Amino acid sequence: MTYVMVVAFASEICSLILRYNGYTNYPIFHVYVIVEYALFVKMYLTQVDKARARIVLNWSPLFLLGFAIVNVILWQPLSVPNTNVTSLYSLIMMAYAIVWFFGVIKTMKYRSLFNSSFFWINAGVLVYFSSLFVLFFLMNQLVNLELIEVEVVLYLNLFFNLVHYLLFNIALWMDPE
Amino acid sequence: MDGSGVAAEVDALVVGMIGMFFLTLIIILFVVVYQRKLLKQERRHKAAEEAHQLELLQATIESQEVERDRIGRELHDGVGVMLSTTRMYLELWKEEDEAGKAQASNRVDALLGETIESVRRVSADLRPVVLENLGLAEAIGALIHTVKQASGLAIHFEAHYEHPLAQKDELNIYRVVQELLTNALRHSEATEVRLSMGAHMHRFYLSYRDNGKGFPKDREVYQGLGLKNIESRINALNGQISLENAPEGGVSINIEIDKNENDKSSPGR
Repeated sequence: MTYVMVVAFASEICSLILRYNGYTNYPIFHVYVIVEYALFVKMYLTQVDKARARIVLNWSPLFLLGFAIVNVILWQPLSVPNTNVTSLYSLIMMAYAIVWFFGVIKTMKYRSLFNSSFFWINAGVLVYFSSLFVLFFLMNQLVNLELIEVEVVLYLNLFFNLVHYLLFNIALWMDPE
Repeated sequence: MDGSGVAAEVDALVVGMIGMFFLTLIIILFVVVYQRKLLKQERRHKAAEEAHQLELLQATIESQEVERDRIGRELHDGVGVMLSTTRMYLELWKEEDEAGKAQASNRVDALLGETIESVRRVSADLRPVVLENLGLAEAIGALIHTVKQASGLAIHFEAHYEHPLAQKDELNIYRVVQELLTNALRHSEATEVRLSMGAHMHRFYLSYRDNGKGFPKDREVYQGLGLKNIESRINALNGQISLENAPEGGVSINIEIDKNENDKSSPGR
């Protein structure tokens, strides 16, 4: 999780630098989505015991990378936001979060959910990626891409990002290891 | 796209994102509440299970006490009395003339014979010799023979006992059968009992049916001392027991033991 936060911080810095120098920062997000997904997969692997599920998880970043390359070539070049990949990525992350909650109920692994650091991580993942999914999916389907520039949408995204990292920090505070 | 169209799309986006946020909050809340509910349920089940185990333990202790009391009485009223009488005859023997001595000697001989028989009966009750010498199927056969002779109850017994249980477990099964037949005689008003038993590589089963009045509806009576004893013995063997009233009348009891599970739980044996 520390890696996720470090990578997120680094990509934000790079994006800002590019933007202030008059360049588009979308290429960074094309790469960042894949790196972040791979790190999340690494995190969720700590919670998965079944061999088949581990194999699927291990190979899934390559699948997303393949889809991202096809997306860049066919539909969304590096100069536009990668809404297709981000929508799919958000959907997959939402599925992981829901499956984790379902697993917790099914196996009764934790006596107190609030004392489990992964509960906070998972809650952060679900809150953030569900809103991200709505944002990018609707942008893809209903509205033009310029809407990402609308302040209220930006602030909302910022708010969910804050909730996301706040919950991650709670998890880190509970279990630094 | 005109200004109102963009505004409507922004509204849709904002409503969608906020709606999704609340939906995820509801999901998280549901998981937390539901997990707590399950934990509470699990605790309740555990408490009920513990209470049940305690009941079984008490029943076992109680039955041991009853058994000790019975053996004590048997020794006191049977063996004790006979030995005291023998002693009295031996005291008298010193003062008797030749004819009296011969008579007393015969009496002492008869009393000692009865004492030996009584001790043999008590010891056979404690650990049936036939079980050790011939095995479970024969021991149950002998027990059924005795019950048939004493009561007139028609008992049909069938055994396919190719892969025997451990001797300690056989004793438990023997006691279970004893308890079942005692219940049949005391409470069931049955005229016919069918008993079948089998042991295969990994599985042991015992099936009991009678044509009596069945279990009473009152669960407390139904879970009387005898049945609790049976249940606690089967629990000790890691077995499963089902007790029910058969649709055609009478009682149907099925016992199954997975020998692998039983061996795993008692590796020292």
